Amino acid sequence: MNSVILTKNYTEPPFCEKEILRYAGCKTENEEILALARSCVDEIKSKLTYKVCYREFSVEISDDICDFGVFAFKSKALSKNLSGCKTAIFFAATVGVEIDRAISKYGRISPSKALMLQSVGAERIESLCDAFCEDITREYNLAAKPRFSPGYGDLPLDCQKEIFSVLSPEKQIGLFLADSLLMSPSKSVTAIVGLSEGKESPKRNICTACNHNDCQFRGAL
Amino acid sequence: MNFREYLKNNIVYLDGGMGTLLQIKGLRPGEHPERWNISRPDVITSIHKSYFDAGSNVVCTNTFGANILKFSEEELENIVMSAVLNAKTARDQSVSDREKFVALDIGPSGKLLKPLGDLDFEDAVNIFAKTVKLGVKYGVDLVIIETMNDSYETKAALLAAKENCDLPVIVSNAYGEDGKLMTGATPASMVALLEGMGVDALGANCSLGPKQLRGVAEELLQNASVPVLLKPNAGLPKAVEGKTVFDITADEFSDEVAEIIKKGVRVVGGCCGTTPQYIGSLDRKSVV
Repeated sequence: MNSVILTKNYTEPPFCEKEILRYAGCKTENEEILALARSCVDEIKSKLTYKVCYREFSVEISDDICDFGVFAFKSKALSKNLSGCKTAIFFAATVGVEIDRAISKYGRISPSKALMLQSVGAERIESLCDAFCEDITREYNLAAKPRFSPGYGDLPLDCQKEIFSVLSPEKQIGLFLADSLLMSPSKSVTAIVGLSEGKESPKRNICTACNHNDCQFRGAL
Repeated sequence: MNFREYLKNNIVYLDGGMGTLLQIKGLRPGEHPERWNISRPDVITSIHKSYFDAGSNVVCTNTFGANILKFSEEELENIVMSAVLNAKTARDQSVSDREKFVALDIGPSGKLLKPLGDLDFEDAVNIFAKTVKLGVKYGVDLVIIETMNDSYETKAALLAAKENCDLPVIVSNAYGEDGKLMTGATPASMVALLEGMGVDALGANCSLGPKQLRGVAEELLQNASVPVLLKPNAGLPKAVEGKTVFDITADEFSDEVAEIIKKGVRVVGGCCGTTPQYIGSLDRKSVV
């Protein structure tokens, strides 16, 4: 199937302060940290843009190889994640460059603000991805598996190149891949979402798709 | 007549989309369309000819992504050589009696420049320069730098063109729904940048349909002293039974663009989703 690259622009998903503080590594809340988080949100919120580009592929899984027609990924973890799926959505999402500019600026003048903005950015991009995944389940009337990104489990980061080659995120949403395989803007995600007829989709990504147990951000609400 | 002379006294009709037409012919996801210049020259030439026949004065070579980051030096030269030959063959075969020109098409490098990305400005200039030199070698009439969503990369491409040829250079940027480039530049600031560097025409293409680009066109017209270009998409794409369908018809497209021509835009064409039918329709509705 020669599928279409589609693009969606979203309005601002609701903020989750608890998630912002989790990304900041704050185990406890206090008024000072909350005030910092809120001031960062107030400063940056009007400058964020919420863009996603995506494309549908068929998927066949055999011997830990996920074959999407145009290319195949060998990954035990991805095969398990996509088990039971005939369709997979590849997507790329970004909240734009302005938060990177703000982080860079405050990196020179206020490290605590830079850290908090990093955390706000992480919460924002995950919220955008959650909104997109909910949308997809409605659009296709199917359940969505937890999204799976390059670098999760045994799926190498190198797969970013294939994902970029079929989504053209540079043109669609202004998202670029460096030689180091890091993305710019930095508050961006690429992922594969398997769709299946099955039980209800999880409301939030709960890290179940990834087996990096030593990740400091593992676990969720 | 050379292109600069033609541009002085005429509305210039560019061509329309290429990618969607290649997908219909079997271009696979992730496949480089530029390689079709060599493997499927008949398809490329036929598309160029269709645009010339529909009324285009300028066709853009199928070299949008042709740069040294994606291809080896040898393959890049073969691609540009074949691309220019395909366009020239189409010009020779066309039944249109209009002035017809071949433009070297230069799209973004695919990398973001420092400090936001990892590509050095001077490296970007050198990357674009290689493609420009090849276009000049194989005899294009002008250079079109298009779909640039970053002002800094636009500057690099334009500098490469200016340093390596005396040909006319047209620059077109991809503006977002907020009326700015992805990295924040406004149409007015792009006019200042581009006119300061001596472009022959400037404007906007891609991303949006003609209605959504109207505001950008108006700001460009208010500020520019060189001809302004508009090359919108045929609206937004949708998936209908596995095929790409754009939501604006040729008639709706040409009605909208004809209105914008009345406001002063003088270089027009279509981008993603448009076909020779869109250009033909535009040609019939434009008032000189």
